[in-house]
Amino acid sequence: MKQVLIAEGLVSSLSASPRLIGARCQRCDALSFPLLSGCARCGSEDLQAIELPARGRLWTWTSQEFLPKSPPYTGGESKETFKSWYVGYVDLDGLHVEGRLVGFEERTPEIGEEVELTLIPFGIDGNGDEVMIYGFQPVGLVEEN
Amino acid sequence: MADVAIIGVGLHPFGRFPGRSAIQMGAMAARLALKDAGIEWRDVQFAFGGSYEVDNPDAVVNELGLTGIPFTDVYNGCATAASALSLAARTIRSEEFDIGIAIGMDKHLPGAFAADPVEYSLPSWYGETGLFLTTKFFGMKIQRYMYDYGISRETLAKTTAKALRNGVLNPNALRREAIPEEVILGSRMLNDPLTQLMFCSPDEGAAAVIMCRADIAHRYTDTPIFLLSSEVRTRRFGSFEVHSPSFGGERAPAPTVDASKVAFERAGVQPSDVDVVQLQDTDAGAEIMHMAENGFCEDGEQEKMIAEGATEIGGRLPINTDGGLLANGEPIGASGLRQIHELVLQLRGTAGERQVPGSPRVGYAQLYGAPGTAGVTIISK
Ligand SMILES: [Zn+2]
Repeated sequence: MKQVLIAEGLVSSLSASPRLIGARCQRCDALSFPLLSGCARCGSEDLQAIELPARGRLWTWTSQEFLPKSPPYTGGESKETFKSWYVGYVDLDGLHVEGRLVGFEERTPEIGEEVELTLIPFGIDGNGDEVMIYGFQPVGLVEEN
Repeated sequence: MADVAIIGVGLHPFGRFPGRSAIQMGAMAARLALKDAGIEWRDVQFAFGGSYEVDNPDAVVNELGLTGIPFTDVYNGCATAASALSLAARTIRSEEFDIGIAIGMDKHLPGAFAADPVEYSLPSWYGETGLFLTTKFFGMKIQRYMYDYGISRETLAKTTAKALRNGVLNPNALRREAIPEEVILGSRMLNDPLTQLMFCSPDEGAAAVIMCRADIAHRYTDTPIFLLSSEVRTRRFGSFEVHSPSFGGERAPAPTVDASKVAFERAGVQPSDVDVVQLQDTDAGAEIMHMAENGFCEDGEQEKMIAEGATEIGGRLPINTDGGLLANGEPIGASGLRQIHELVLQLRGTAGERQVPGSPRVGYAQLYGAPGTAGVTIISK
């Protein structure tokens, strides 16, 4: 099945080592994600797209234990089929990025633990393609499996 | 510059009222405030109205009287009521008018608020992937705070139980049933560590506050309450706020910290002067964190303070004496004016069963909401 990202320009590639696309302000050096028209710190429009680090430490987390409202949510589950997930903020080189957390079936996430970017299947779109979103998983999860 | 006095407050109960519109509730709250001030609608020279669901809160004049006054509608997220109040106070302070009203009203459907992320300067994927939710922000903020400062889950439950006990004493509250801490902890988990009972719910209600120039307040009341300051601030770069796909590296203080500092400065009082407090308790964790953000304690002191009962009606720092958002729910446009209504009753000494002992002199109210806006108001007798 063909895989597509949920949004253009969100992630560098659908390869095995994806990176989130953020920006570095050319005036004040602040990092941001996703790309906006101006720097959230100084307002400069002079932003350089960069690939954010793949790994970072979990800054905080929670569980999402009820089905989000649709719209805007497009996950497609029903109240009956919905399975709760974890979500958190990961410190990527000083920028705290929010995303789903996967690979925590056996235990809860821990603040301070190292996680890495991964792509997660999210559903099938109107063209029959598999939609991918980004998330973070414990470092070493793939090797251990 | 004129000083500002509050001479009338009115509140339509918070809860569920099938068949009654938000505008009708707003009119009822306004009439109660007029009666409290001993004036009529034709005496009111200007108005600010706040609502999330109602496009034109100013339509309340259809029921109060078409007197031609300037009536400005305000929407500023959960800080809507603080914005209406702050603008009304500034209008009197600037001596443009002598007497005016702030009215807030709302009527929400049950369940979490829904909106379009694009209107919050967020990408569509943020909503499509299930990240555009306020409750998980509150879960993540208190999760980190508990890790940093040793706040326990039991303290979250104690804070909720206190709010519901105070709600029992408040005939205008949505939730009027005391619930044991173990039931609160054991209720359905929504966003770890926050259970369903630890969250407030959107509901319906209205409130109104009438203000005038302080030097003419004696014409209307023997117990004027003076509005010392009312300030609104928004988030700075680096502050951890609701609806943020990312936030910057250097941590900045929350907008509440900024609003609180300037409100204390302009009021000329200190946190230690405050006798009764209203804090935004969207969830139990928010009340705990807001205690420190507003300068009432150091980070982490809450664990001991709450165990000792400091925030109870009879404690040294009574917080949310009417049950706060947890017991009253949150009709967004009215929520902050409910806080002022409660503080005015407390300072007048007319809060009945939930009266704070010792004749409280200074009251403090704080609001916080999406996308990172805070409002603080300080009043005194
Ligand atoms: Zn910049």
